[in-house]
Amino acid sequence: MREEDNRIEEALGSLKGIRQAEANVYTFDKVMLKLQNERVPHVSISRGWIAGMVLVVAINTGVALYSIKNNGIVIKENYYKELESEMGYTNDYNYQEVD
Amino acid sequence: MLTDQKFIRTLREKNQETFRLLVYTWQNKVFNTCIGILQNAEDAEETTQDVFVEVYFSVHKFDGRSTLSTWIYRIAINKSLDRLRHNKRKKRAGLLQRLFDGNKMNDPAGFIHPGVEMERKELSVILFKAIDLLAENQKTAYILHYLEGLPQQEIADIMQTSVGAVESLLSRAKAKLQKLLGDYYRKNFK
Repeated sequence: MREEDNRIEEALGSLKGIRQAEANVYTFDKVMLKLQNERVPHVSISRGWIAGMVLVVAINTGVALYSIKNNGIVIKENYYKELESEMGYTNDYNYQEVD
Repeated sequence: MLTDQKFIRTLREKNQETFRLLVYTWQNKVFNTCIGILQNAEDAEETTQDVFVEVYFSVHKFDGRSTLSTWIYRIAINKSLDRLRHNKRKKRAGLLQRLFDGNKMNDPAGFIHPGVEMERKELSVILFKAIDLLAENQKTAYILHYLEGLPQQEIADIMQTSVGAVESLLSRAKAKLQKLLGDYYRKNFK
């Protein structure tokens, strides 16, 4: 027991007379290098985000093109209908009855 | 010699010479604190650099309520503990990986503080292994007192607590170390 206590005390006392650990002599230069890197604003966008943004833009563009195209068709159809009614044209003419 | 206030004013103006003086004055103290907590020279070196980067960028936040010394020690402690937690998370993930890979984990070689006297190196390896098992606040107080040689009042200022609390932390740390060392010696020398 006494031997064990002695060992414990010896281990606890092993820091007696300990000298201060010395930092790398180039610490200042390394810090300055880090500071320079930190100053440059870097925008880090992950590939996932870029892919997501491209997908969203593509979907929006597709929807916009589709709706523009559809609107065009509807406008044209309305125009023809108005023209037909104005000119008195009908589209229920039965060609078979001509004979 | 510049007073703290003048020193801080020139630091805030991002005066490179003042900053160089600060780094040269503090680098060993910061490194010694970091290496005590992290028990790894590379990590301590990296953390020391991070401490000075933080000092440079947040010197405008320094309100002068504590001394410059206390403030720098506080940053060093926080940065070291952050890295220690990060390392432990990484170690846990690595352990899981190794378990799944079916490999045995190698016991890392013990840490030898570069300032320990030659004849005490072996004993200090065992002590540092035990220190590593202490709770964060006990470890901080122990390192600052026994490795950095700071008085309890300054440790209390750094840890933002009372002298009584530091005293209690140190005595609990010592009791825990005695227990851990006792367990170690019973296991290895019987």
